[in-house]
Amino acid sequence: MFIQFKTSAPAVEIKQNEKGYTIMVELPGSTRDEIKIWQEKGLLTITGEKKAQAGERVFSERVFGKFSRVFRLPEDADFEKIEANYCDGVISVEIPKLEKAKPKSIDIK
Amino acid sequence: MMSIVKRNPRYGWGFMNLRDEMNRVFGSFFDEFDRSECCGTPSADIVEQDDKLTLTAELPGIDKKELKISLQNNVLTIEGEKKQQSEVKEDDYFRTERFYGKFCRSFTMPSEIDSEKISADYSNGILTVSLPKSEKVKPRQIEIK
Repeated sequence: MFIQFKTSAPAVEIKQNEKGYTIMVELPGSTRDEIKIWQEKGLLTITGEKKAQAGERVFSERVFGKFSRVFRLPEDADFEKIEANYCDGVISVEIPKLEKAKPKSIDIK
Repeated sequence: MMSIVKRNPRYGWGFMNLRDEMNRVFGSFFDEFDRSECCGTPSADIVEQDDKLTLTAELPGIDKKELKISLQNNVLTIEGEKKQQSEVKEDDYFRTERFYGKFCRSFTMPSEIDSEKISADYSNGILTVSLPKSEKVKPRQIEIK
């Protein structure tokens, strides 16, 4: 699985198990409606915008504005069954593996 | 082959101001010491209003119970721990940019805070601490007799 990104963006964690892949992206301060995820031609894109609150900053480290990250999905991913969940500022995208790609034990006859 | 690019959370899209740009150009010398890169300390903002200060810190994926906030001598300290949800074998990771573990940050408040009235809230991965200014330092209009 290769990742492409134009600019550095939110922190990402990608892991896999027998059932599928999980992509977790840290998006603190974004609401559910501000985040868009779509899949097209084997590419999964997560975009959105983090809006700054009004007021005079006496100390500033947080980065606001648009963010985007693109992931190339592996061939054994089931594009039809991708699910996403948002909890405590972290987006979790679950991508199951195709049935035929799952490990299967073979009986000895 | 694509070379590995170090993630820099300060990069953005079109909202980069001069300060950020200068930090980016000259900052590479000090990358090793960059607060956000080396130890995973959360990014924070402090906004000042007439009657209060509001601190917001980015703490995605943390358990509220793992956070501790304290104020002593006008220094606000946030400490906590981000725990990994499940044990996963290293081989199963393609990429990990997220930070796990303990963190601690202290902020000296620019004006005196009424410690009795501090309130904190955690939602969508953001910790918001509301710090009302002490009565002594609030701006007050003086009547002309």
